[in-house]
Amino acid sequence: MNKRYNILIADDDDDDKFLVKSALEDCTSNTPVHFVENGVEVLEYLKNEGQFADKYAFSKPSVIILDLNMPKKDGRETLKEIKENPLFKKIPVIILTTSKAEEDVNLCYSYGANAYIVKPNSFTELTEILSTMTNFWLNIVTLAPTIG
Amino acid sequence: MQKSQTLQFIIASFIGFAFMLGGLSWVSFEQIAQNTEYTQLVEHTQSVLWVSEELISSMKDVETGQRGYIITGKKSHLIHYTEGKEKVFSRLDTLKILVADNPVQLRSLSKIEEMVHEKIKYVDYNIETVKNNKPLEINKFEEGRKAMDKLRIWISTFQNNEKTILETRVRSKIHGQSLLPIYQIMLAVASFTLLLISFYLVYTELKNRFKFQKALESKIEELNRSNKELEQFAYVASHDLQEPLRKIRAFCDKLQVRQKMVLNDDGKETLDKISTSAARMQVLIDDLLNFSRLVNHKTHSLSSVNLNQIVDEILSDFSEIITQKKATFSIAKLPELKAYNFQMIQLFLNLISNSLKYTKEGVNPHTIIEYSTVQGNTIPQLSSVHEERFFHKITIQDNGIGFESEYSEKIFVIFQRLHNRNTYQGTGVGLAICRRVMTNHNGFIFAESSPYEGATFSIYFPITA
Repeated sequence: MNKRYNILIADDDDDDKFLVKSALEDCTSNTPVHFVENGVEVLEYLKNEGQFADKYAFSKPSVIILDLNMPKKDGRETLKEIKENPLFKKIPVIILTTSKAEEDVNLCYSYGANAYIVKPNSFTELTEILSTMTNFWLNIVTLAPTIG
Repeated sequence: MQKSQTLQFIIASFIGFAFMLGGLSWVSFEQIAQNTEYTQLVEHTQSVLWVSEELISSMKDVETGQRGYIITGKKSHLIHYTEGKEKVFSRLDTLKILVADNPVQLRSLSKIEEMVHEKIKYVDYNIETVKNNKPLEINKFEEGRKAMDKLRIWISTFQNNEKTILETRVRSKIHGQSLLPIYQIMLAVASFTLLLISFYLVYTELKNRFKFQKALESKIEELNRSNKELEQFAYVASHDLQEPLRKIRAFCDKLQVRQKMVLNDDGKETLDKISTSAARMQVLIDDLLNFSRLVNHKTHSLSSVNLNQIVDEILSDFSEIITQKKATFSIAKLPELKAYNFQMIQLFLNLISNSLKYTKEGVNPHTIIEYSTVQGNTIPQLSSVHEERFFHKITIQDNGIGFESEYSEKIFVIFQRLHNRNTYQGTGVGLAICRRVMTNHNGFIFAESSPYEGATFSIYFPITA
């Protein structure tokens, strides 16, 4: 609907990236998607540091999709830093992980995650999830203005 | 020597030792008793001899007193006579008592007494004659002397008799007694040898025990460590296997969604097979994960669990299949236990689900759940260690297809199945979980069955005092 929307996906796994990309292709929306490899890159992206210095190419994401198990800085830490930062905390963070552990679910919600989704086993489900999610966050929900 | 033989020897040697000590004490006692008897015997004979000597000497006093009176006419001499007479009779009385148990000596003694009276009769006669100033009669003196001689003979006979008795008695005693010290020494040597052997055996046995115990302790430590590693391994393996498997399934699915149109029938079928296999592997891994989570059960805490409530909840979860199969249940009042709630659910869920799964065609499934308390010695599968303990026993009995009794232990092994996967679904984890749950509760689970006769699962929870 709105060209300004974009999604930041943090996942270190190439296969998962490939699956998510493919699934997103099947989604009706053609929202731009950026992939990063780990938590450090998520924060660099948000702060427009390093390789993400170009503010126009790497504008603030409308939604962040975060994997929990990543190298360098994992999803839990990254989530915590995002939600503790007044500049980023209004951005919805959706956890998409293989972990079903109760501790992870509890921890993420207590850090302020906006949704917790367990990676499905089938591609069909993944497509459904991503299409529902993008529809919900980008079309139904009114997001906080993220410019600045 | 084997352990049991050693033990038997030690027990036997201690019993032998006890008997020998008893024998030794008995021999010593016997010796003391015999010594006393011997001493008494000698003393007895000696007093008999002494008293009879005294009798003679008192008799002499009487004689002397008589002579002195007759010669001097002085009354003072009569004192010796009177005193001597008194002594004679008292000696006679003493002797009667001393030889009361010997008829031969009593006969001799009565002869002696007769002679004493005879002699005293003449003495008295002579003294009376002198008192009355009549002339003495020589023949009376002669008769008195004869009586005295006879008395001497009889007393010496009497004394000799006594000596002979003593000698024969002592001789027989000495014979027995001379053997006693030999017995004593033999017994002492034997019991000492036995004691030494027993001590040596007990000592070496204890030394071995300590060594064995130490080895056992280190083995347990080692086992604990490797067990922990294995538990970790099962969890990590199943956890890490999930990742690639999830991707296989996702790619497979993607292929099915995107490329189905371009695949020929063979390709489609192959893809389907890959997909089903991957799905099955997923179930296996999930079960393995569940199982390995049970192993690390200490993360949860014990609470008071109402088993009837758990069974009721499980039955309402199964309500659909229960209606469909027309299954019936009869459930006894079950106890409240201190247990891991989640594990109790897992336990009864698996057992009840089995009773609903392995049913006989054309027979309405009926499951009986009963409860009682039993002592360990009534449970044949348990070792004697548990004999004294008491258990809550719960049996779950169905009327299903059952199984060959030879499989009654095998079915509890993880991934062990008795049926083709197409006949009855499952991974073979359910009963392994049940056994694990019971192990976690220091309890037991056993199964009994024969084909087409239904199966009975018995679970035992220890009753803590």
